[in-house]
Amino acid sequence: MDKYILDIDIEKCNACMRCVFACSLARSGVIDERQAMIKIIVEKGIVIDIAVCRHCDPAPCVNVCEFDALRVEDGRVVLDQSRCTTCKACISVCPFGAIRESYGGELVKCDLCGGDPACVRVCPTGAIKYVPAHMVRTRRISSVAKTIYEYLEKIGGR
Amino acid sequence: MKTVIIGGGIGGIYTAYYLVKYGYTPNDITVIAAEWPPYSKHRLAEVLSEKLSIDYTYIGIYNLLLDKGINVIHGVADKIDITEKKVLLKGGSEIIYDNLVITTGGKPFIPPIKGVNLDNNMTFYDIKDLKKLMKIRGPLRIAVIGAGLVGLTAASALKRIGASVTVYELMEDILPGVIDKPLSSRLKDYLVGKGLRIYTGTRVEEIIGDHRVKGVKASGRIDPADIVVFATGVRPNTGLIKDIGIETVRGVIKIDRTGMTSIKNIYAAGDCALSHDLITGKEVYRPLGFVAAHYARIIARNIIGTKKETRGIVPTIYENIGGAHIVRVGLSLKEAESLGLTPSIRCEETIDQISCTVVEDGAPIGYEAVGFNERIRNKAWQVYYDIHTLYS
Ligand SMILES: Cc1cc2nc3c(=O)[nH]c(=O)nc-3n(C[C@H](O)[C@H](O)[C@H](O)COP(=O)(O)OP(=O)(O)OC[C@H]3O[C@@H](n4cnc5c(N)ncnc54)[C@H](O)[C@@H]3O)c2cc1C
Ligand code: SF4
Ligand code: SF4
Repeated sequence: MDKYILDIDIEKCNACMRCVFACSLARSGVIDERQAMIKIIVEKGIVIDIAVCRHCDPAPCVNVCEFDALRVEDGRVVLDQSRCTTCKACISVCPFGAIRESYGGELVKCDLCGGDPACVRVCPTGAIKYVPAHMVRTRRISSVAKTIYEYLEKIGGR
Repeated sequence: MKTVIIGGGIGGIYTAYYLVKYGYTPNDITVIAAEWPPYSKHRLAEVLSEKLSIDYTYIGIYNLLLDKGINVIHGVADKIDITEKKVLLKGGSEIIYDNLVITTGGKPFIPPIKGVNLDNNMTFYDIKDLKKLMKIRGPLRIAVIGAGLVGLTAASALKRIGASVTVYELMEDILPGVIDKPLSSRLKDYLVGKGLRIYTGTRVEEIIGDHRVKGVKASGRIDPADIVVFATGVRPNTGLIKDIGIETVRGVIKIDRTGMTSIKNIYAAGDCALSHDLITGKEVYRPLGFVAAHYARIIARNIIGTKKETRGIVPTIYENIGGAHIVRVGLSLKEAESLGLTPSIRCEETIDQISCTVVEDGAPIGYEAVGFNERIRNKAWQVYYDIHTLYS
């Protein structure tokens, strides 16, 4: 089965915040931006970024974690809170600013809700879609990236 | 085969974790821990500033390890007998080992100046310090000595809980050794703009007071203070191994690339030991959590018999200080110079971010960035992969 990931289109986002609230509800049962694993970054009224995990392959965060707290499960990059010590090494190398601190230093990052992302269900504009990974790649990368970082740069650079 | 681990901090707990993960019999592992349950120092500032319970600092895997059946002695190792291969504990009991892992961590360094023994002098280092600071009520005046990562995170947490904070730094710049000049200057301006008083290039000469702290004398001036927090660095905690013949360099335990000390079957990791720098191959003292965990894993592999040598560490640091994002991957200009390289630095600056790449012979060896908005994106990951591709 093909791996599915989030396809993000910042241009379509109107900062309605539905995804943030849905994510926080799905994760913690309450509406609280700090517990959401997705963040809409708005500056002077303009959406400049949607910070959410792209489930990179290979994933810099997984490579860097010395605590066995980040790993790949069925193509999804997941963070195991019980193993994480908040050393924050993963934050330093994440190309998308997708790992963020919640309360007490607990880190949050998208786990794709186990395969049915809440953000995608509520996004009214199509700024976040859940699509087979190869579609995200073929649309954005014309030739197959040769090195890890060319690959990462191609997805990250837009 | 019995493995005894001295110290239940990050190095000790993760050595036990990786041993169990790689199939070592849990019941053959004993952790001697002066502090229990194990906690992460990386969360002290967050728990303080958000007024949370200290439960938030605990490292989640300790319950898993107990369930698996590892042994924990909540106590203090007093002596190591290398001929009999046993550890003697304070209180008289002893325990035999086949493999010994020393993860006794560090201890905060306090400069030898007048007045440091007065009440209300403290450090920002462990759970005891956190508990003390959590009791603070009212608008106290707090002097933080040292503007490194620990000093600045402590200062900004203390400010958030209502204290009036002044930071003193001996060096000309804040975060000395972590980031270089163009970045530290901008970060300082930002933090000062947020209401933190920071005096750089300022030597604290004396802590003034009768029984309790009343003020700080620095570069000739006296500022009033109710509490003084020293964040002036870490030294290895290696008193336990003095006189048993383990090789040290200025008090820090020397280890090889398998984590073993100069004595066979005795390993060491974390703030008590040296580590290897990936880029230069040199031995360095880097008291950081991920360094401790890196060697914990290497040691576990070698104890179970799958020989593994580390290629060394590429530092990967992130910190949020007062809303600014600080990132550092690989070597800073200063650290590279101190390791004998002749690097140069290239910086890019926007309103929201300043980032610099450190270059040696045309190849990147480090990256530093400070960001001032909510976005944490930068190019650190590229340099991280470049370094691994070039130097491995
Ligand atoms: C405020 C603060 C923030 C930090 N933030 C970060 C960060 O964000 N990222 C990062 O990577 N690093 C960070 N660090 C550094 C990191 O915490 C240390 O590098 C790490 O804890 C080292 O692990 P360790 O196991 O060597 O030592 P420790 O975690 O200090 O553990 C050593 C343990 O051994 C015990 N012990 C000592 N002697 C004995 C004995 N004789 N018998 C029994 N037990 C003994 C001690 O009581 C202690 O519990 C921070 C440090 C501080 C102080
Ligand atoms: S590096 Fe960032 S975006 Fe990539 S998998 Fe890890 S958290 Fe997700
Ligand atoms: S912060 Fe947690 S998940 Fe990230 S690298 Fe450190 S231990 Fe791993």
